[in-house]
Amino acid sequence: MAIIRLSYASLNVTDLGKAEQHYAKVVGLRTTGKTEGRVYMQAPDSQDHHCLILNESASAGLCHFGLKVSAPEDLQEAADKAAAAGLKVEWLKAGDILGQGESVMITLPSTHRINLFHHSEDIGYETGMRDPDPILKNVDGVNPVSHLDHALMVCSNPAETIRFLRDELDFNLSECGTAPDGTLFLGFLSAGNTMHQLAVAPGPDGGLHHIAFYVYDRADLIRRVDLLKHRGVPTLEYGLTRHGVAGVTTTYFFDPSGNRNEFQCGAYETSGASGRVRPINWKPEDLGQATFYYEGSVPEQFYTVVS
Amino acid sequence: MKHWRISLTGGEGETVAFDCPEGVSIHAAARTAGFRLRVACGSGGCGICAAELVNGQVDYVSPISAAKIEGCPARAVFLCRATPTEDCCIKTDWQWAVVDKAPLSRRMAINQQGK
Ligand code: FES
Ligand SMILES: [Fe+2]
Repeated sequence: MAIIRLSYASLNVTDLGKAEQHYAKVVGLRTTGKTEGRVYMQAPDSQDHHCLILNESASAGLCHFGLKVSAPEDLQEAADKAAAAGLKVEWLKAGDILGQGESVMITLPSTHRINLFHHSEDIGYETGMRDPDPILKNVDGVNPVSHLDHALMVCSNPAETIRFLRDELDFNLSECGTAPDGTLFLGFLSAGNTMHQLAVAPGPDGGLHHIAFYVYDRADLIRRVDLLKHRGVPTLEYGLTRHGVAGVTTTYFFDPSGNRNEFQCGAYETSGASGRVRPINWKPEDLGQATFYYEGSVPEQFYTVVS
Repeated sequence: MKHWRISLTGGEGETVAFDCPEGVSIHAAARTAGFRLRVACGSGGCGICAAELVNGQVDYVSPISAAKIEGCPARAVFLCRATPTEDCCIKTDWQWAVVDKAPLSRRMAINQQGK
């Protein structure tokens, strides 16, 4: 079983036009396709068709995550494993999602859905595939984000979902939180070369905590915080800070439907090979430092606010 | 522009009142009046700003998430995007914060008084 990356997030938005505007201007994605009620977008440094799907909806929140597998046969294997675990499995035809081949949609114990696919239309890097100029045209105040990096979902029983991702879909657990009785309540999982692509934390089932975009360096991130404030984009209490988990430099803000976004840089690299690298472990009483390293405490709203 | 009167009773039982122009969110009007409400996403998506509309009517300046408001008690309103269409009495089970506009000038005034 080889999932190779978190490929895209499909989000529900309550105002499609404003959402597209936000992800284009504030985040720096390009629009790569449109169908009725849907906009597809991609970051400059990815060749696949999209890293974000925006769905016009009455509610905000997650529609599903897209995960890319390395071989077409992996889809059937994942479907079998999910069915054996008693999870709902649904096949989507090629083209059901623009620019994407057939896929298998699995509903996790947390009720979030993940859509595994192999083929994506190749649209190339934003700078082009031939003799590219590394500097993007139309840079709007900031350097562009690099790619969709990871997402954090919340659910009532994180352990079940973490175990399925780790034991059946072969994600590697790079960092986790364990209660005194040994229960996993927090997990950071990766199928690629960075320390997390999907993370699972406690909260209401199906909740989306945030999706994160990778920014090249800290100077860029500081500039981005300035611009978020300048443009009046809603942010959390903390401006620029750092997580103990992964040690990343980070800032949070919200899209116009209330889905939380993160800009982050500096996550360490590690192997996504399942079970080959031991996880870091956090105790519940150290979550303040794990979450906000500078402040050493977590504002109540940080974990309770989800879309 | 029409202005409506908002009377807000918070988690500690205290009531404050302020004007809110029609078409402006109650959150923004409260902010202008010096009260910081419990708002996070400010975009109708998380429900943290939910309050009870005891009296009056509101509209929304932009959409709020249906799934979130459906999970709330009847008469719940999301203050980050609600705007009054008549005078309103609103109750919250959380407490707002007073916006400290100019801590330095306040400190200077206190020092002056001490002389
Ligand atoms: S602050 Fe999130 S819905 Fe109002
Ligand atoms: Fe994150």
